[in-house]
Amino acid sequence: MVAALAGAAPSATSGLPPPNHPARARLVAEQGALVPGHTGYLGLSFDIDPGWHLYWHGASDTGMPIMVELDLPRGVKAGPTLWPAPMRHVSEGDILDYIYEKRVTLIIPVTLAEGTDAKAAGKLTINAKVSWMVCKSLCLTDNADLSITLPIETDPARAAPTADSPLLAEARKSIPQPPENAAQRVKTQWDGRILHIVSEGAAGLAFFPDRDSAAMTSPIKQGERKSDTLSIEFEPSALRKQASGVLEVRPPDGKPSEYFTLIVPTVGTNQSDSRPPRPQPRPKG
Amino acid sequence: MKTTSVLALIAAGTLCLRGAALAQNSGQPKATPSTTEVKKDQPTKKAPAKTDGQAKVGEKAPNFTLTDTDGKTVTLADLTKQNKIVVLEWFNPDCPVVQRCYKEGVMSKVYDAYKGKGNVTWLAINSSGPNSDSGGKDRNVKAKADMKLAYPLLLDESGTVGRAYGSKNTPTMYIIAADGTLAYWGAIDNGNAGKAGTVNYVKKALDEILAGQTVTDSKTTPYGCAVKYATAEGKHDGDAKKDTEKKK
Repeated sequence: MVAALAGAAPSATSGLPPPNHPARARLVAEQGALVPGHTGYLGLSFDIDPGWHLYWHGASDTGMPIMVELDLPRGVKAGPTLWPAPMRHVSEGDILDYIYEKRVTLIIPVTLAEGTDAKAAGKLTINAKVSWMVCKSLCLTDNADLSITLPIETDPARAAPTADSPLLAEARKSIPQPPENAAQRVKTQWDGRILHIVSEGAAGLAFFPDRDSAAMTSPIKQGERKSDTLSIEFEPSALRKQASGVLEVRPPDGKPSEYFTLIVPTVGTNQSDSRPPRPQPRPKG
Repeated sequence: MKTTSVLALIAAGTLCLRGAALAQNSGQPKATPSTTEVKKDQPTKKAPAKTDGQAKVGEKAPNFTLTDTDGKTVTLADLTKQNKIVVLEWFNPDCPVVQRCYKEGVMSKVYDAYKGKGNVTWLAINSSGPNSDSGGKDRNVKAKADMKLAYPLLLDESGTVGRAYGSKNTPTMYIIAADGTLAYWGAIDNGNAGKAGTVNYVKKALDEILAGQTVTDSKTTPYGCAVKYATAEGKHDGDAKKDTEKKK
């Protein structure tokens, strides 16, 4: 069960010295076997050199998100990749990107078909073609062909956690919870142009928009606030879509943040709609 | 189980920070990414504006005067006076996306198709700061030769023109119609940083402009590497300031 990464010599067309690989990818498994009828989890884990960053899949101004193309054996199906929440990164020229530093692990759910015959199937190999852009003051594009081979266990109890399972546990802390969980912690009010988000008692809020979300007018200024209220204006031209992304709720006292998927329908709710007034959000603090 | 190969090297992003704005808006503790390159926040000074206003599709394109790698001065208003249609291509020789486009002839195919037609003029602009790896005259004289740019490469080391045009990625493409109006702002095509697209937006827009039609896709989302604008200190790379906000 291993994964691999090799390092071919980088080739450069510029006059700069070829760098090493500032980010290194591994494909790992949370558990040491696949179980028929069960979903297991793979981790695509990157170690990133200090100062360098990779890109989240959302609406960054620049860069390229990590890209994964899986080649799955018969009987194995993959679910949507789970992306940990990113960090905001602002650079000269009003450039806002959503990035990962140091280490990030994307989680890939894999389900083995029920009734798979362990003896007939033998071990299963999952291949992943991975490519990414990694930037500091210099950007590189890099790629790796990774693979992992896992045995099949019919007894779930025998699919024990691997030595890499802590990487997935760490990643889960910032993988957004589903929208229905947000409803308990977060109130949103859409007034036709501005989305007001309130999470009572929070020390800070940040919103990371999806790539296909309605566009924010001032994401650098309005995407994050040290307050329990965040008010975000959206481009009127972009309201054919919904506002969607990840909301980070920072509790007081330095406790770990919570993350929620946020989806706010905006279609057909422009200013000209006549709607009953809704409660105002708490005063901005 | 194999391997990686770095395709290209590029200078990308400016890692400097807009420290002042972030500090005010977020009130977060200062980020302290664990890198020795990070320096404390300082407010960023804006370069004095030498252009007239901010670019907006459908409005008059900001005028500018820049010098190319041969030392020649180019003024947009002079080209507009001659009824030229001007294509601007934001360029960085060290950006892997720019390199991919050149390798695949994404720019040159369009340039070659229109260079003799309808008064189309093509200009590349590099807004990298003077001390960045991808900035400076020597680096760009070499890049123009190595990458076989058939059109002028203008240096915008102060970043004034890049900021006036709101250019954040290399490449970002603009087309200024013969009447001086900004007719297109966006990506070269409908691809992404890793892969060329199937629809070349610049070609499509030029065809529409030359046929006297309205540009259908007049604003698209550019993709590429962050433009490597000069920081307040004009430093980059190892000295780049960076504002990465930490969450935890």
